[in-house]
Amino acid sequence: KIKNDVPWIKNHDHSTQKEIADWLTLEIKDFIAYISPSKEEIELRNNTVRKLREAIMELWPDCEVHVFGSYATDLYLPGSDIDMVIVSEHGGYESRNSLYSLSSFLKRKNLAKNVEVIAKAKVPIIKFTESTSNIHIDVSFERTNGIDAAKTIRSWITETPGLREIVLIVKQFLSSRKLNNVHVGGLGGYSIICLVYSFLILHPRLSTGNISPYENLGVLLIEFFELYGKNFGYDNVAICVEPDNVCYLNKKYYPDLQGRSSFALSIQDPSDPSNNISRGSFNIRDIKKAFAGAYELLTNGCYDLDTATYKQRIGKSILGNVVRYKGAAR
Amino acid sequence: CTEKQRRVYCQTCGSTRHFTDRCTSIWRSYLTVENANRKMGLPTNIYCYNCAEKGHYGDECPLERTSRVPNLDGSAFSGHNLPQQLR
Ligand SMILES: [Zn+2]
Ligand SMILES: [Zn+2]
Repeated sequence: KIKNDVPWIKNHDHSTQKEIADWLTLEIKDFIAYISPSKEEIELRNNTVRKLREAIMELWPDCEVHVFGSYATDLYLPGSDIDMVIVSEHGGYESRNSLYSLSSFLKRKNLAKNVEVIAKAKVPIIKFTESTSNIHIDVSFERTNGIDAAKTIRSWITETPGLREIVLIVKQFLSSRKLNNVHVGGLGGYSIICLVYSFLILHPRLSTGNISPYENLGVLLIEFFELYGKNFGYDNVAICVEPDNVCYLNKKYYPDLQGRSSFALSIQDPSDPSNNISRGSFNIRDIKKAFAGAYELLTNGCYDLDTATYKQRIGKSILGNVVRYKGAAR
Repeated sequence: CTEKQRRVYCQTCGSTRHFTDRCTSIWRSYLTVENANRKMGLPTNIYCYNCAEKGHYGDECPLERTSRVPNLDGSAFSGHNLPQQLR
């Protein structure tokens, strides 16, 4: 059944589009505009980061405070948290003592509430809610890989139109199905970006320069779900996203990239060839199934609307079957 | 003969695997770039989603398919999906 009454459709009706693929492309652009943060929200986030950075450097003048993750790459959804990392020359801020002294410092300064210190994890972090903005913050220590990844992702986004849009849709899709949490085997942000990036670079129409991705977001979104939901050989194929060499690798020759089971997603870390970025995504079976389901929903939506009358098409949404976003405009 | 009318056939692409109203061409249509007459070479990054080999797309893989989801109507990653002058 075709959805109607999704919020991003209001005043953006595309039911008279001749090509269904163009309708979906326009709807994707409307959805992106709808969930993109407002100027006020951007300023609130920037101010929050600035305030925290200044406070932390007051406590530890010899450290550097960086942001990474979706905030640093402009790929955040409403309610996403901000990832910060503290690094220093001496590398000593990951100690248990520092974790607790920072957490009590932030509490004393009234900058943090609901503070949680997770000291025993492989990657020790402090989680809290910033008091005035209510934004969730994760602080980690002495790790530069997140900063490097953010730099790589930013360059991909500049060079690859369409990447940001498809990533945001896939992120929203997975988060509405609770398949985006790496702690329970879901697909993390960096993995999603690598999947979309590799798909776009290797696509026959895009690698030949025959089409521009931004004008073909509709068909490309369906084909993304087609590749990873129906066809991709998870058992044999690993994804490589090295600069100037986006390709597939046969897992047989890369033992480091093989997971515990043969059916596993495997993405080679561009800054560490022996690391599989997606090794935590053990629930790839459900993720693949969800992608195949998204393909069915989108294509069935297209088939139904293609035979519908213009009157029946008014106010209908194709994307609403897949992204289920109920929030207000930002 | 009613048997004949029920046979699966697509009037758009001639396929006998789907009806006309379920033809992938309904959504797999691309808005191509204007100056299509400039020289185009075969892309150097043709890789197979099924076996990871360079030089062919997954739809044309000679090896056994590993995904258990069927691919009856062909996908984007096929030699047939290259721009016309390169096919
Ligand atoms: Zn057909
Ligand atoms: Zn192959």
